[in-house]
Amino acid sequence: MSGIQEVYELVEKGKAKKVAAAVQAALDEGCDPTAILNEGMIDAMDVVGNKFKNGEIFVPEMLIAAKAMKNGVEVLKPHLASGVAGAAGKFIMGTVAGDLHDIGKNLVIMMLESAGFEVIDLGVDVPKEKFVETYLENPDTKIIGCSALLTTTMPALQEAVELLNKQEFRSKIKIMVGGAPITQEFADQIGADAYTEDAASCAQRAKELSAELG
Amino acid sequence: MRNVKLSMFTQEDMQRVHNASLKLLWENGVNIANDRVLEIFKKHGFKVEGSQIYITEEQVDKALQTVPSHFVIHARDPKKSLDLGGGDYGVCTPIGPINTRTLDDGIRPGTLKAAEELTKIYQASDVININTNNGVEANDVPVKNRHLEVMRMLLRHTDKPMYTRLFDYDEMNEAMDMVEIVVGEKLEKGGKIWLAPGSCPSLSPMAYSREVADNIVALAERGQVVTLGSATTTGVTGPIQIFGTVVMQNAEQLAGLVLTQLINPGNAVGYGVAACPANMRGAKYCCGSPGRVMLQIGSIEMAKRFYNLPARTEPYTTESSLNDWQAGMESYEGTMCNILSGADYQLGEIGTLDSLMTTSYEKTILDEEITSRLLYIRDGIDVNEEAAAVETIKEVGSGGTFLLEEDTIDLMHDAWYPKYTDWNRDPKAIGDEDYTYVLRKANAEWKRRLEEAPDSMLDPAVEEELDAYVARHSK
Repeated sequence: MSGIQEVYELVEKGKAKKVAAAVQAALDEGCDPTAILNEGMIDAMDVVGNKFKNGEIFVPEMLIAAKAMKNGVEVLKPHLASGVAGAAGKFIMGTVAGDLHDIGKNLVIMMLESAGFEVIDLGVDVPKEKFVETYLENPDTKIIGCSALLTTTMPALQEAVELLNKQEFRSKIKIMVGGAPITQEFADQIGADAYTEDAASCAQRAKELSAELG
Repeated sequence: MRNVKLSMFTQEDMQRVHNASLKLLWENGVNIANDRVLEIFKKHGFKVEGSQIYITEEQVDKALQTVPSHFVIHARDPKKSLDLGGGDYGVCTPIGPINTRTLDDGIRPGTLKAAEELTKIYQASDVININTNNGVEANDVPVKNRHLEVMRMLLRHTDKPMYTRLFDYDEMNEAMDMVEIVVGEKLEKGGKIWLAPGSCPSLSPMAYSREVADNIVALAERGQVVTLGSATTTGVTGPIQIFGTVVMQNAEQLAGLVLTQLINPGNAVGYGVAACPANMRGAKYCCGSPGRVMLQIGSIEMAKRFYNLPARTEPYTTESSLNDWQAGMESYEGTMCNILSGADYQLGEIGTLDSLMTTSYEKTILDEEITSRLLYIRDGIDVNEEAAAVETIKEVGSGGTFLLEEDTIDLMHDAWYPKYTDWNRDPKAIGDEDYTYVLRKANAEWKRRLEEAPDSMLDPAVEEELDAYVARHSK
C-alpha cells in the first residue's frame, strides 16, 4: 500500500493517533506533500462527508476523522508551500451576540478545515461589529459564517447579517448562516447567501461558494 | 387517589447520584460568568476562581434546608391558583417555538398576533391551567420592546397563573412591574408568587450563561419562583450514559438552587429537567427518543423522592414536523413519562412539533386530550372496599351482565371519554385517505375558542395603566 493510500484510509477510519506517523512515513517515501494533503486527506474527508450526509455514520465518527486529518496536517504543514493548507480560502466564523453555544460552530469549523479552509474562529457571543472588523483585518476572506442556537438570538443573527450587507466589501464575500432554529426561509429573509443544515453540507456548500468567488 | 408513579431508581441509586453531584460541585465546580452572581457567591464565602464556583456539601445542605417543598403560584382568578408540590398538577404552555402550524395556513413564522391567539386558546382550555407569553415567539416585534409587548398580551388575555420566557435582568424586572400593575400588589421577597419562568436552564456541561443567571437573580430578588432547567443532550453536552447525565444535570440543578437560596432563603424553586439523548446523525437534542423517558423519570425521582422539591419535566415533544402518527406516538410517550413521573408541573411544550420549533394549533387541542387521558391514569385504581364489588359480582352471578347494575349506572360517566378522537366512527363514512379527521375537529375547536375570546380580560383602568407603563418603557 502506498503511503498516500495509508493516510487516506487512516483519515477515513478516524485513526487520529496513527495519522501523524503515516504522513511522516509518506513524506519519507518521497510522496509529494500536496498530493498527501489532497489525495490522502481531503479526498478521504470528502468520502466521510458524503457518508455523513447519507446517514451512514454519526457526528462523532465524522469529527474523529476531521481530528485525524488535523493531526496529519500538522506534520505536513512545514513541507507545504505557503497557502496550500488553507487553499480553499479564509472563513470567518462566530456564534452571534448573546449566544454562548459553540458545539455546532466548532463542528462546522472542523469540517471546514478538513475541506481546506483557513478558519478564523471568533468564538461565541460575538458582537456584529466584530465580524466586520475581522474582515477588514483579513480582506482576503471569502466567507463569513454566523451561527445561532437560541430562538432568542436569531434577531442578533439577523442584525449581524444586515450589518455585513451594508458594507462596501459585501460583493467580495459570501455569508453563510446556521444553527438549530435557522431555516432556509429565515436565511433568505435576512439576506444571507447560504444556509445548510449540517456541518458536512456546510463544508461542501462553502467550497462551491468559494469557487464562485474565484 | 394514589397518584401512580413510574420509577427508575432505588434509594441507593439516588444516594449515588447525590454523592456524585456533590463531588462534581466541589471538584469541578460550576461556571457562571456573571459578575452579579460571582459577587453573591464571594460574599457568602464560597470558593470562586475566575468565574468557576466551587460548592461544598455543607453549602448544598444549607440551601436544601431552606428551599420549600411546595409553592402556590397565584392566579388573578383565585380559584385557578395552583399549589405545586402540594398536590395540584400544572399543565403549562410552551416557551420557545418560533413557528406556528395550522391546517389552514401550514407553517408560518411566529408573530405577536399568533402568540395572542395561542394565549386565548390556552385561556379557554379546561386542561391547560398555566398560561404563557411565548406560545410562539413574537418575531415581528422589535427585540428591544418584545418583553413589554408579550407581557401586555399575556396579562390582557389570562386570569390563570403565568409562565414567561426569559428576558434580560432589566427586562425581567419590567415584566414583574407589569404584573404588579395587574395583580395590584408588590412582587417582593416574602410576598405571593405570580410569575414563573418556563425554565432557567443551565448551559451544560456544568455552567450557567450570564443571561440565565441574570434571570435567576431578578426573579429571586422579588420572591418569584425560579424554575431551573437542564436541557442536556447525552453524548454532546452531557455524558453518553443516561446515569451520568442524570448526575450532571442534578449537580447543575443544585448549583442553581444554591444561588436562589443565597439571594432569598426560602425562595421557591422548581427542579426542572428536559434532558434528551442525542440524535447522533446531527449531534442534536432528540426529543422523540425513548431515552428521554428514562432521563426524566430518573431526574424527577431525585427531585421528588430524594429532595422533596417541586419538579417539572417537558412533555408533548416530538421530532415530527407534521401532526402524523409519529407525532402522536412520541408526544404520548413523553407526556406519559412526565405525568406519571411524579412531577408537579411541566415546561409544557403543548402542541409543539419539529423538536420544539413549531406550535401547532391543532396539536395543542389534541395534546390536551393526551393530558386528560394521562391525568385519569395518574389517579390510579380506586381500591376501596366497595370498589372490589364482591356483592355486585355475586348478585350478577356466573354468566350474567353488569349493564343494568346500580354501580354501572352510577359510575359509568366517571370513566374517561375522548373529546376529539373518536371511538364511534362509521368506517364507511371515512375513506382510507382521510387522515385529517381528528385534526379537523381540533381545528374547529381552536376556532371556536378564538371566536368566543373577549378582546381583553382587564379592567379598562388597569389596562390604561398597563399601556402607560409600556409606552413609558418602550425604546
